[in-house]
Amino acid sequence: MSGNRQMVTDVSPKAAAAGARAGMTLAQARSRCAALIHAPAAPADDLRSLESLARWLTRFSPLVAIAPPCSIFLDATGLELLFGPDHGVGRRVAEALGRLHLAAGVAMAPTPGAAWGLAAFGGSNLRIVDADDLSAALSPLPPHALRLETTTAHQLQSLGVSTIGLLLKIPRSELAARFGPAILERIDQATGRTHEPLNWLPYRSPIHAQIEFDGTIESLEAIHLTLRQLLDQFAEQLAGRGQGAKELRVIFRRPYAPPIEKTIQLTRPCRSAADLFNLLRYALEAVETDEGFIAVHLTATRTEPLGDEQAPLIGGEEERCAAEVDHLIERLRARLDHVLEWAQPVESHLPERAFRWTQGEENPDKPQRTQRSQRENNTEFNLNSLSFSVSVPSVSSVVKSFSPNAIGPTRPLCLLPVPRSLSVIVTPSESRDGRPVSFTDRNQMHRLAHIRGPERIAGEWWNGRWKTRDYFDAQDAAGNRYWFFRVAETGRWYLHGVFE
Amino acid sequence: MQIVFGKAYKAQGTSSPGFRTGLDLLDHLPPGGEFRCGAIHELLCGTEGSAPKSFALLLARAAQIAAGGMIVWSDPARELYPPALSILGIDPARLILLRPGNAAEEIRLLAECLRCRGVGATVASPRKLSRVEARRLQLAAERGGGVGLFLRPPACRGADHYAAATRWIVRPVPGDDEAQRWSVELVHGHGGRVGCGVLLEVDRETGVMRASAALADRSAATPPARATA
Repeated sequence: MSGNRQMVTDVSPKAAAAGARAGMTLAQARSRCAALIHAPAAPADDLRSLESLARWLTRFSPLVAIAPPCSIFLDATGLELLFGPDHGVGRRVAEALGRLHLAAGVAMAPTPGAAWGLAAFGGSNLRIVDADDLSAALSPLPPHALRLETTTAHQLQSLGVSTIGLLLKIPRSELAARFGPAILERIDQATGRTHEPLNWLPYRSPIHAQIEFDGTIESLEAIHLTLRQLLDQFAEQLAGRGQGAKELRVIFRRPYAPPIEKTIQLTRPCRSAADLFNLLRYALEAVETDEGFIAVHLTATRTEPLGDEQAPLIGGEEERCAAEVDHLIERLRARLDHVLEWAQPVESHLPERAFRWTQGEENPDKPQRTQRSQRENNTEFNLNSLSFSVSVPSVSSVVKSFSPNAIGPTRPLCLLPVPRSLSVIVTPSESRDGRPVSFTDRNQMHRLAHIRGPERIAGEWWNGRWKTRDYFDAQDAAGNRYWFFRVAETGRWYLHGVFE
Repeated sequence: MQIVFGKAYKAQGTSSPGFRTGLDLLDHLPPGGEFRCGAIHELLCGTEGSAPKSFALLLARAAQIAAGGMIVWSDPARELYPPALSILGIDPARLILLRPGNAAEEIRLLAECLRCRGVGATVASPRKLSRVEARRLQLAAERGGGVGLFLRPPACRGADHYAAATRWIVRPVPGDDEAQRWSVELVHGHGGRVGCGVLLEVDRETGVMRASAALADRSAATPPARATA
């Protein structure tokens, strides 16, 4: 978006085939292709996903660098020992990216500049070029492939210099005089006359601590002691990186049985060894320690930056209470899975569908961020409409809070999970609209008085629920108050809730 | 519709922390004229198979306003209907539902919740409590400073051991077109008006709760003594 105009920053191959180009306005692109699908550009997200892809590629090479907006360099020096001669690593990388459904050009060349040019302009196939063939491989490529500035490249194009081969025939001094020294540097980087330094991603080892015993350890005290030692190392590593653990995985290895894995979720990042120890102790409660353990591994599967904490001096009480609730939630979750739930409002007028239960993280205060894939991020246009139409309605129908208007004025505190069938005596009537007089629930007759209703609630016909319910709110002679309904179509009665 | 139970406020001028429901007739009954925080209050049902959820909600909401914090509601059968709670003024983000798998687990979880200072009220219906368990829960509540509200079946009335600051018995009373009614009677509570009761009624249209003098005294009082929320 520039000014009020929405500009196209990138297009998918299908959109390009339909005539859309990067750099045109959205309206122009739409006029060429009516079925266009677009998403707002998110450069920060793109960069993040590029980096995570680069981190993933460290499985092929220890040295990986990213070049925004969309390039990744791998240092393949010496990798033939691992992936076989004949540049097996290039093939493996291309295959891996293909399996991720990333339409990436992959090329191997003696210099980063040449590799970039070949990957970007050398066609979709894997290109592998040796030092001897370098100039031959580069010469048919357009000057864009040298990573020139856009204006320089356009000028060259208009001068009729359409390939690198032609460009290299021009004397160097004249090039520098016309286009500045930058073009010479790019040429030298591609041909290997100068070295191009790359910003390799720093290696981040996983935060991990483990201990292996000579024999089996059975006593709980010993296990606690080792856990304390492990956590001390662990907390030190976390502190060194300024991170706090958000999720921990602990694996207890047993001599003659499969290892026990426990995952501990934290509500806020934490690196206090004492707090983590308490959580591990709770998690250990549900673990059988009879056979003993031969090893304990501890890994931080998710971490978040965490500054050094400072005790608040003013208004501390409320924050302390909130922190205690967080600790409580962590403790209970560490002990037992699925023991805590939150209610989240959902836009629906059907009583039993007006909310849903959620567990933990996605409680109404903190809506979950939607995860977007690399592919969605990098393409402004995507004609594959299927990939976008998933799961959107359910997210949009979740509302912030329950509103009385949406779900009706009177609702019981106790709603039966499954409505219970009732036999009801009604006043005589021509059709199925007599008022209830009494009902029998589990062999007990309740004579009804003070009936309010009916409140008609139609089914969600768009979801295939056609039946309409007429709800009545009535009290029996003893003062118990019930909420029950008649299905208008069938005339059957069900008890749905109790006001108690 | 916004403020349903009237203004609950922290009792002032007393040493022990407590809360009031804002319904004067009800607040007169417990010891000291207020419900104690850091204690357990037992609500016994008059009939088998039901639980006085509305009364529990009234107290939990008042406790949350007075002391802040979360409300934890133990609901193993998944019967509680959150939209109704929300209409009656409970923020769904500050309500945690507990799903214990069995009775022993429930006691342990309740003790954890009661001990936590960030929990204002813990509502549960434990079936049976041994003397030790009852005492443990009471100590947990004292440490945490929140309120424990236990909905108990009528059979518990005869139990000789309990560890609650007050015990109430709640019986449904025939209502009318406008209101649903319960009689609420204080059955235990040192220093409280044991044996006295009030008539609690909830407006069927708006959900507003009121307390009025118990049914027997009602004819004598003219105009009827009624604290409207």
